[in-house]
Amino acid sequence: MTNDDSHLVRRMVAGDRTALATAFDRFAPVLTRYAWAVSATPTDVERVVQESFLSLWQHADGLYLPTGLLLPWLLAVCRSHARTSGADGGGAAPLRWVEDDLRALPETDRRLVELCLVEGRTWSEAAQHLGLRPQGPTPRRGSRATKEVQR
Amino acid sequence: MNSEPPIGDDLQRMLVSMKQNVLERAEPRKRRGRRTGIVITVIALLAVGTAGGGVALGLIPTSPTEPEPAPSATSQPSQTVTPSSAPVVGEPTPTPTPTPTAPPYSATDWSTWTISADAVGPATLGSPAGADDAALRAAFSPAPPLIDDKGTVIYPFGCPNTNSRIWDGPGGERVVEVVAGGAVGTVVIQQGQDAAPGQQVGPKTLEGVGLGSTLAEVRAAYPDLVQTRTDAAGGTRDTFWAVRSGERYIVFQVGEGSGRVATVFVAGTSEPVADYCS
Repeated sequence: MTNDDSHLVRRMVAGDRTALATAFDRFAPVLTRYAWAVSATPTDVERVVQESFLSLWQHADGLYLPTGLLLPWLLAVCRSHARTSGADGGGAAPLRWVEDDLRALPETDRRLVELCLVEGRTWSEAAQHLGLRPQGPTPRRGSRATKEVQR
Repeated sequence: MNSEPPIGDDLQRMLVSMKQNVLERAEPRKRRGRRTGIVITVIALLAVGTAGGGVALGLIPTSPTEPEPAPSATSQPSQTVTPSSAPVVGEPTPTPTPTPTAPPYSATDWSTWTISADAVGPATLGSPAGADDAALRAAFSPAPPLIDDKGTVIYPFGCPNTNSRIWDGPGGERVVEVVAGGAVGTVVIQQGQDAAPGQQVGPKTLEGVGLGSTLAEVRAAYPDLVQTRTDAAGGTRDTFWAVRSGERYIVFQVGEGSGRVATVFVAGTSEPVADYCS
């Protein structure tokens, strides 16, 4: 679904909020399951998931998607928001509720997620570790989108 | 948390609440690049005023230091229209932007679904075949397969067109996802056969029309509505009316006898195939 994700991002960049709604419908269940594993309360889960999609909306024009897929980036930024809230972002088996979803991803994306969510690497570190180069929008140096997943 | 994450209605309620919150808080995108460009241009014009505006005015647009406009300010994906042999009476024009957002919905209650260019409730254009099944199953059942005398499934959803994934509701209402290239390319919704005309309770567009609406109501909601096919040879004397939304079309099939919307298509073409089964 690379093309579809890229298309969604382009529409968000253009200010189309229906694209955000579509992205929410597509990815929110996965993010909710992940956030459930790393958050202390259901309220924290809701906050973390909501903040993740607001980050997507706010930074759509600066996303660094080395493989073109949105889900790994969303999971990484979800982890960042969970850590910011003091939740257990790297606790035991943080991926236990999203294993099926990750199995459906290409190997590279799966490794990206594992490096960020399990090993605690930053988004850029993980991409660099896998020898990835950016596709689509070039990451703007110091952009808020890049910083957000590097916290 | 050590507990298991919510599923079913509990998850749905949580998602509806979160989506509502996210869409309310997603502010219209700022066009910083263009605004900066305007400021720079104004400053340059003020400076030019003292140095001879005629010459400088021609230089400002090509200045290498001027920031690029934000992509959102000017670029829009090009429109793609699937060609068809059916005659086209008129070409729908795009609806004005910005497009309003679809409100949250409950998968179990299709009266809460919104018809948009992206989806009708959980039936999402562009999603992989089968990806929406779990959500559709909340209120619909897959159409019974056609099985031969040895128990072998001939057509999984009972139709020769195996790209049509057909879901039937308890009142005869129907949702169809027509798959093309592995992804949902068209979504079709049809009214229940038992429902009285004008009393349909089903998905609506953001403008408030849907199954059971009269043609006049659809026209009032969409001044740019265009009749897109008049092919009586297509097996129906119903009329088809399309409105363009982004890169797709919402097409209303109006019953010849009732004068009301009996079927709604969301597709990449203004002339969807009326018979999705064959």
